[in-house]
Amino acid sequence: MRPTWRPTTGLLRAALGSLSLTAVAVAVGRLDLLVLASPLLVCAAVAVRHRPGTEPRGDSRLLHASLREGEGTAVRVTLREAADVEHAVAALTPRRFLAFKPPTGVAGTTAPSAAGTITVDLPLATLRWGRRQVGDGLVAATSPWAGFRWGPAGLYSELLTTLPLPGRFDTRAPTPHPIGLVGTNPARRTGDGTDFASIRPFAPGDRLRRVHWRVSLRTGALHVTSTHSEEDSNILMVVDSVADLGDPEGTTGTSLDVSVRAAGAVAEHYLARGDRVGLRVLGATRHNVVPMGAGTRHLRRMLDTLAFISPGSNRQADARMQFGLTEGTVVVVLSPMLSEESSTATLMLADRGVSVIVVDTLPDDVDLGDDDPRLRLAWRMRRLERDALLRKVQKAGVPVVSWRGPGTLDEVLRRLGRRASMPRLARR
Amino acid sequence: MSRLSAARSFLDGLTGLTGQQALLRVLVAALPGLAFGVEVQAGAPVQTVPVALVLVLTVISALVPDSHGPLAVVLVLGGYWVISVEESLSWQLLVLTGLLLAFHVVCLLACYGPASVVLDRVLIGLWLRRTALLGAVAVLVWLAARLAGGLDLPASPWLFAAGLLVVVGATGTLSRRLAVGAG
Repeated sequence: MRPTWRPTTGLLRAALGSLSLTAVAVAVGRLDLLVLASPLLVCAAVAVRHRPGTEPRGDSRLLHASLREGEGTAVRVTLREAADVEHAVAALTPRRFLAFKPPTGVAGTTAPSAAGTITVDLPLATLRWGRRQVGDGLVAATSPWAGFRWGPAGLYSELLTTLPLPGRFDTRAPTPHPIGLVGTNPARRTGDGTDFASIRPFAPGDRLRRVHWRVSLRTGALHVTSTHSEEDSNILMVVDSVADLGDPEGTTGTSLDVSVRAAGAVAEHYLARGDRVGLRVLGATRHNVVPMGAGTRHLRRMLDTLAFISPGSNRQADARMQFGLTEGTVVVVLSPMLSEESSTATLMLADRGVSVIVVDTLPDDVDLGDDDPRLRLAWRMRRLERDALLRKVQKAGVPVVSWRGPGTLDEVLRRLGRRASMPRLARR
Repeated sequence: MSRLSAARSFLDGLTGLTGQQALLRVLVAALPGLAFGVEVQAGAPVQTVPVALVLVLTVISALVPDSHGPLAVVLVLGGYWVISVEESLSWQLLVLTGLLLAFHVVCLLACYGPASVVLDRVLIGLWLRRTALLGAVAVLVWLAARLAGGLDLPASPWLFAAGLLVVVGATGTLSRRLAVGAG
């Protein structure tokens, strides 16, 4: 039903109260009742005189549709054709992980005289990555002297995308299989670079500045210093969204919070170094693949895809597990290792001879069995199953590390680099 | 909306009261009691039924100011004045008028939005000026009534009703000009 102007209870009180008292005063001839009624009578008369003639139109608009975690914007509620409005109030529907100012999400404003448009801005901060509807609620308006009220009318919501704020991450270890053209990782083949490879006899095409004079004088033949070429590498992030455990309002967040923020951090780090990064989300039907790419726009695309993740939205979609990996790709699996899907994917990749690293994202403070002994027992059993899965993965030669921010991947990347130069068995 | 969910949202509204709204509700609860005290001072007897009636209606008004509870409070207090106090243009009448006016304005302010709304200073200042204006009207009518009483004119309620209409018209014009000036 379309909202219209209706008399307020205040106007009815002033009108009925004053008229009743005035009627009695006239009927019984008592002057004192006229004195009692006079202010209410004046109030009612002036309110009726300011009876609104036009119907306002209300709408809400989100000032920014995309933010990062912790950033703020505002919902602007606008009342048009509001010449008869003296005060407008907007109340937005509270949502989880959104902080309004004021915290109730209710704000009002008094309009200047005969303003055509009234705006009520409600600042808000988004506290967690993801996509959620914002801006729905109610708006109401009051005429001068509080005689008539319009609404409350409904407001439509808009979609707010909150990009994950990547955690802090840094690594000094090179990736084990750089296979690209230009980059910063020392490759296995020799070429232009800075990392020392060997001293070998001079060959046509070698540059003079590469001549190693001391060895050349000692051996009597020209020798040159060769270096490893520097190339970029492919990193595939696999984010497990099948299970999400933990308190989203806790200090570390849920396992999916850790996974998403870690994936953002790792992607940001490698993309800044010029490497190519891709993304695969396990357990999601839509927006679950970002192909390999480089550059800041690609980072934005990855963060957008991470913001789309909804935990446990689909457990069956990844049955075929086609990753489409190229040679030399390093796969970083970010998972709490509580689902068969993630362990199966990890073992399958390891079987194919791909360098896989599992980053365990289960927060330390997760405890689901505080109150109920049956829950406690179930959680213990779940953890035992998880330990078995982790052992199985480690037995297949996949290193498992806990996410701890900067330096998480240093040691395992160095080990993978050493292992890359050794002969190995892989299933084709 | 079911009764249960309505009751739940009502209680949620009460728990979400802002400091300003809580103060307004306290005033809504206190002013009828003061007005009743002024009536007693003017000679009205303290009887159980009117006291209980005012108490119940006051509680209803404080809990749900956007209802007809405050109207009932005004009618009960006005009616009790008519029944139990002889016609009097004493200072108690003026104080009672001021208290009823303040009660009306406080109820209006408490109804501007949900219980969690915080009214801005502009609106509160506007209503303070309006209350002063309405109070001035009451004082003028009171003075006019005392003057008429002093002149010992023959009783003619129509004459006073006409005079009241003149005051209403003058106040309306004045308030319009004040609003234009503020804009």
